[in-house]
Parts: sequence; structure tokens; C-alpha cells
Amino acid sequence: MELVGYAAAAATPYNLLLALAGVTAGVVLGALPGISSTFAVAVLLPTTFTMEPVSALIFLGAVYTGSTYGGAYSAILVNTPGTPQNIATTFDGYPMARRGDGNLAITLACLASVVGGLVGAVALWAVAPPLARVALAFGPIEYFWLAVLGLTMIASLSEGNLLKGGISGCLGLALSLVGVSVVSGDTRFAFDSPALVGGINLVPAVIGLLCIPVLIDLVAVPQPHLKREGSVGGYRLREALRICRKSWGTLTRGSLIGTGIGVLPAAGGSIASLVAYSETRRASSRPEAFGTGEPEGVLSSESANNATVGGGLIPTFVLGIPGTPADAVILGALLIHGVRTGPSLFTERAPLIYTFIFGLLIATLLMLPVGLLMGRYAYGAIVSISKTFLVPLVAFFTIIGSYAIHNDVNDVVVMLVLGVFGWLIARVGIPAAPMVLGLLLGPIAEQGFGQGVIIGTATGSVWAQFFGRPIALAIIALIVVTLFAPYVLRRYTRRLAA
Amino acid sequence: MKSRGWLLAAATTSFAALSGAALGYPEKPVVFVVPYGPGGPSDLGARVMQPAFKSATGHELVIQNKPGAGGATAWSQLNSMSGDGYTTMLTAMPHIILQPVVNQPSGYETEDITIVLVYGYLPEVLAVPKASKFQTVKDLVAAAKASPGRITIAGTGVGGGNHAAQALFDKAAGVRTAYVPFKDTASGNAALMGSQVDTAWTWLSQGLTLKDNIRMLAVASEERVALAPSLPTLKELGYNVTSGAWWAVAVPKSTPENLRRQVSQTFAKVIQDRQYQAKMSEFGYVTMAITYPAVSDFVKQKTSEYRPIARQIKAKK
Repeated sequence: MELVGYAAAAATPYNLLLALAGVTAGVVLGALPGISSTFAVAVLLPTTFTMEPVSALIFLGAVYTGSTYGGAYSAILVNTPGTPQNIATTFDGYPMARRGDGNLAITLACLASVVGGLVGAVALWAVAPPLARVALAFGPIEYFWLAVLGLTMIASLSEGNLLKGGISGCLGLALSLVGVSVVSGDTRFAFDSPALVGGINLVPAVIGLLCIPVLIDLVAVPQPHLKREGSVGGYRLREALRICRKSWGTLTRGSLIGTGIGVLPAAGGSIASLVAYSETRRASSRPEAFGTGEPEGVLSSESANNATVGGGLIPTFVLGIPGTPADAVILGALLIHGVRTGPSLFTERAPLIYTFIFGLLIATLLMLPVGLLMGRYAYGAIVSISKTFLVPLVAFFTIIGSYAIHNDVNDVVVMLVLGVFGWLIARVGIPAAPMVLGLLLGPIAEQGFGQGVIIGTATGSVWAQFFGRPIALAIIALIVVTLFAPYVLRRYTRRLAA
Repeated sequence: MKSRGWLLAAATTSFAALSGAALGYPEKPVVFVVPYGPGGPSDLGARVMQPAFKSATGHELVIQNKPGAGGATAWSQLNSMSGDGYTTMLTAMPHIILQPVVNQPSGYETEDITIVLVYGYLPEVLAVPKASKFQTVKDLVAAAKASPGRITIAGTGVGGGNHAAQALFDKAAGVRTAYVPFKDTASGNAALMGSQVDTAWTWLSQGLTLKDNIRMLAVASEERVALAPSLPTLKELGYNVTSGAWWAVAVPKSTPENLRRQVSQTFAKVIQDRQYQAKMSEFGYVTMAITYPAVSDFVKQKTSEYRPIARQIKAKK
């Protein structure tokens, strides 16, 4: 009976309007490269100071979930993830758009985001306290092994040439070393330049590595940006629903991985979507199709990143530790509104929390009409615009986006240098995606390793730290399976055939 | 139509000039660069200040996040920004005193930073997981003495306030602990709550909000704090350690003398806002105002206090 009351409180016209406004604003901001979800939520935070706490939360939650989906537009249409959570969406989303299926990819992204968002929100409702305890069991060692597991994805992102993918991944790891080290405090590879002391920032690097090569190629070849002739118009909702029904396993896997990784405070939506993408590829019967415009690639990435919204709120509410960077801002909003986090939040402040969760569910559902409609216009605009306008427009946004993330001109320089570099290495067949992965996971692996060694030295055994913890061992087992299972299977099937 | 628009623009400009002459600084929005990402304690404080700034001056306070290298990215760029009084930057002590010594090269020197107002103080606390066997500072010190180097202690980064507190406390108590640096306050706190480390130096604000899962043993302020009256200070327990973070407003070196005073006075007026102060004290922050030019002596005093600790941390690395 109480639940009906919470649902009614969430569905007041004012809260519905806030959810709609939040999702719409989120989709627009998220679609702009460089405007991350964190940035979008932070910019809109002061507008919520005068609201009731629950309305403020619904609005910010709607912005967060909307921006996580909105980032898929630029990922699919111009190969530039709008937010870091959409990196994995570019791998198959952009090839789909190239061959004339951009509208289908956007509709699939919308459906997957709604499913993932709902799963994350339901997890927040049903199993928040026990999941938060799991988050605490993850120490530096577990994060180290998790990052190593992530790095094994280089193999799946290497497009057939493991050596070249490995080179790219190592370049990314090397770039992640630039700047002040968290664990040792040493400044590395900064060459006395203040611009490099802070390291290579992820967002400008990703924009450069993924988008600039596309822009250069657009200028270099006479063909239109996205193929139009022979492609089907409209939303292609029926077709998308059919694909979703067939790939329900992918959606489930993506949503669960997203929720689980969202709960871990040191990993966010970007890692969740990459892990979901790679796991989906591994489980697929045709892994070679991934990277060439496989709809399941988009489904896995987009369901996982929206599931991190609900998943990330679990440690935020239960522990007071933000699950993702955007959750740090939402945690701030709670503090400003005088709401104390903790396990008691779910009992003492039950009306607030459950009304908010209903609000988040409503906002996620609203993403379906809002997202489909806005996606149609985004696709229509990008497809019909002439290349002479598109190239300068996108180039403008790459610069604005790289600058906006930290208000720093140096980031624009980093973006341009890495962009040209990414184009050059693509000439010799070295893919840029593993480099992004190295840059993203390098710091997590390095910090976990350094902290693990300090703790291991203090407690007497470094080996026992790295190889003596149950969760760590489980992750190591996964790493071994991921690395060697394909070879073992291939040999086995070959023997069967012979 | 066109000329009318132009006239209107001219009229507005002259009106702005008039009111500007009457009110002085500020005449337009002021940029406040926050050297950390959105959502952290410093960023939150600045965002709570936004409405107070608007109501005190009639203009917006625009927050620009410029995170990187524990603040060093922003601080090393401060003096290349425009000294027109409309670019201001959040600065934290002892961070700007420790970093140039500990993280060489950090891109700036302490003396490069022109502080015009110290506006807040956040004490540090020594905390353990809720399930820890350490009930008091005495228990912890006894354990640390029994097995030197075995007690792990989390904190944020190398050369930050937490690291300074660890160095100060180790010296005062005559113990040796293993400092484990984390990338931000949240991840260090998560490691503490999960008992990945034995203990941590963190901020009073964190100790208060996370009290379901962690236990504060002592606070490193001069006097007990109102929000946790039963929490002893390290001083009264016999360890001469006071530590914390002082927030300050800094301007580029090229900012002229009269503007430095105006920036200082304006922000000092803003933080008098009752709602701002209420929110801040709820979080555990102490609002204070040490204005320009008197603030220079305060900075000098802190520099002479913290520089030896910085050298000590550097030598141990």
C-alpha cells in the first residue's frame, strides 16, 4: 500500500514535468561531446537548491540517465562518444551509421538504454544494501585485477591483428603514465610543461583518437558521410524490437554487468560498457561481426551504461561513497538538502528514497518517446547536412568539447595531436580503440598495484595480497578463461572436425 | 529598427557604467576556478556559495572546474590568467605549500600564489572502520609501537593535507605507519569502510557523513568541534598535532592592489550569508574571513609551519 503512495508522490504533475525536463536536457547535453554526465548534473545542480529534496533528486537523476543515452547520438553518427560512457557504442554504432542504419542504431540504443536503466533502478530498489557490501569487499588488489581483466579486451578490440592491437594498448598505457603519480607523487613525462603535469585527460584524448580520423577521412574521400541510398527511413522501431527480442540475453547481460560495475566506486559507466561489449562479443556465435556494425554491440554497451545509473546510486545512498563521478554531484545535492546517507536512509527516509526510485523509473520510461523523437531529428540533421557544413561543424564541436571539460586550451592541443596521431597509425593498420582502453584502465591498474604493494609490504606478504584473496582469485580465473578459452576451443573443434 | 537596437544597447551600457561606478566591483559575473572535479568537498562549497554571491553582489559566480594533479594543474596556470579581478581561483592550504616541495616539478611555487582571502577551515580526523579493534588513539599508538610500519593508513594523494597529518602524527606519537595514497577522498574512504586499510586520515565532513561505517578517534583541531562534542582533540590527548585544510581565494599576480582588496572584501561579504554559513557548518566547515593584506601573514605562518613537514615527506619517499 505504501508503494502506491510513493508512486503517486513521484507522479505529481510537477515531478513528471521535472523528469521530462531533466531527460530532455540530459539528452541534449549528453549528445554534445565534452559535456559529460558529471558536467551536466553539476551545471544544473544550483537550480535544484530551492526544490524539495525528492524533486531535486528526480530532476538530477533524469539528467544523468538522459545524458548517458544522449551521448550515443554523437557516438553513432560521428564516431565521437558524447560522454565517456558511450565509448563502446562507437565500435558498432558508427559502422552501422556508415552503411545507412544510423536510425536503427539510435532506436536500438534507446531501447537498450531504457532496459538497462530500468534494471539498474530495480536493483537500487530491491538489493541495494547487500550489493553495497560487495562494493566494500573490493580493495586495491581487486581493482588491479579488474583493470587487468579489462585490458584483456585489447584482444577483442584488435580487429584480427593482436600484435597491432597490443601496440596500441601499450601506447595507451604509456600515455596514462603522464603526470603526477597518485601513489608515488612523482611527476612523470611532463617535460617541465605545466600542461602535462595533470596527465592526459580521457575526454579530449577520446575525441581526438576517435573523431579526428573520421573528419580527416571525410575530407579525403568524395563519398557522403553516411550512406543514404537504399536505406530505410523512419524510426525502424519494429525492426529494433525484433532484434531486441532475439538478443534478450545480450540486454540482460549488459544490464547486469552495468549494475554490478556501477556499484564499484572506482569504476564507472565507461568501463561497464566496455566490459559488457567484450563479454557480449566473447559469448557471441559470430564474434568476427563485432566492430563491423553488429547491432548486439550497440545493445550491450548502451544497456550497460544506463544500468550504471541505478547501480552507481547504490553505494552513494547506502555508504555515502559515490559509485560514478556524476554520483559525487548527486551525493553533494543530498548533503546540501540535509539528507544523511547510510543504510538507515532506506528505512528512516523511505518515502524520500522510494519516491525518488519511482521518479527515476518514470524518467527512464520517458526516455523512450523523448529519445526516439530527438534521435530522429539528430539522425535526420546529420544525414541530410552537406559535408561542407558537417565537417566544420563537427570540428568546431571537437574543439569546444575538449576545451569545455576542464576549461583548458592544453586539452585542445592534446586532442588535435592525438587525433592526427590516431589517423597516422590507422594508415598502418593500428586501431585506436585499444589505446583508449589503455588510457582508461592504466591508472586503475597502476594505483591498485601500488597500493597493493604498500599494504602487502606492511602486512608481511605482497604475494598473499595479490593471490590470496577470494574475489581476486575469481577475477584471475576470469582473466585466464578470457585469454585462453578461444584457443582451447578452436583446437578442440578442429580435433572434432578431423 | 536597427538604430533603435543600437540606441538601446548604448543606453544599457551607459547604465551599466553608471551603476558600476556607484557599486564598484563586481560589474559582471566573476569566474571562480575550482582546481578539483565536480562533486568534491571544495566544489560543493563553491556551489553553495553561488546563490550567496548572487544575492550579495547581484552578479553570478561562475564555477569552472579545472582538475588535475591534486590541484597543481590549475594553480600552475593561475598567473597566466587575466588579472582583471574577474578571474579568481579556489586555493587550499597546506596543499600549495606541500606540493611544490613533494611533487617536483609541480609547475608552480607557493610564493607564486596570491591569496586575497582565507574563507574556510576543515579539520582533519583520524578514523578507523566501525568494526576495528582500535577504540582509542592510545590503542592505535600501542599497536603501531608494537609492530612498526605494519599499521596501514589511507589518505588522499601524496603531498596533500592527509599526508601532512600522517607525517605530523607519526612524529608526535613516535610511531611509523604505512601511508597508502588514494586518488580522491571517496576512494580512500571506501577502502577504510571495507577494512582494506587499518585506519585513515580524512576530513571531519567525511567522518560525520560516514559515521554508520567508520569511527572517528580524534580530531586535529585546536578545540573540540560542535558537531561531535564527545570527540577528543589530539592536543588534549597529548599529541601536539593540529591539521586541516584552509580554503582561500587567490587571484593572478597581475591583479592590481586595489582590485585585490576589492575581491577580498567582496568574497568576505558573500560568506556572511546566513544560509551559506548554516550549510557549511552542517558539513563540518568553519567559516572564517582573513582578508587582504593581513592574509599574507597567515599564509607566511602556515608556510613556515608546513615546509619542514614537506621536506620530511620528500626525504622519506
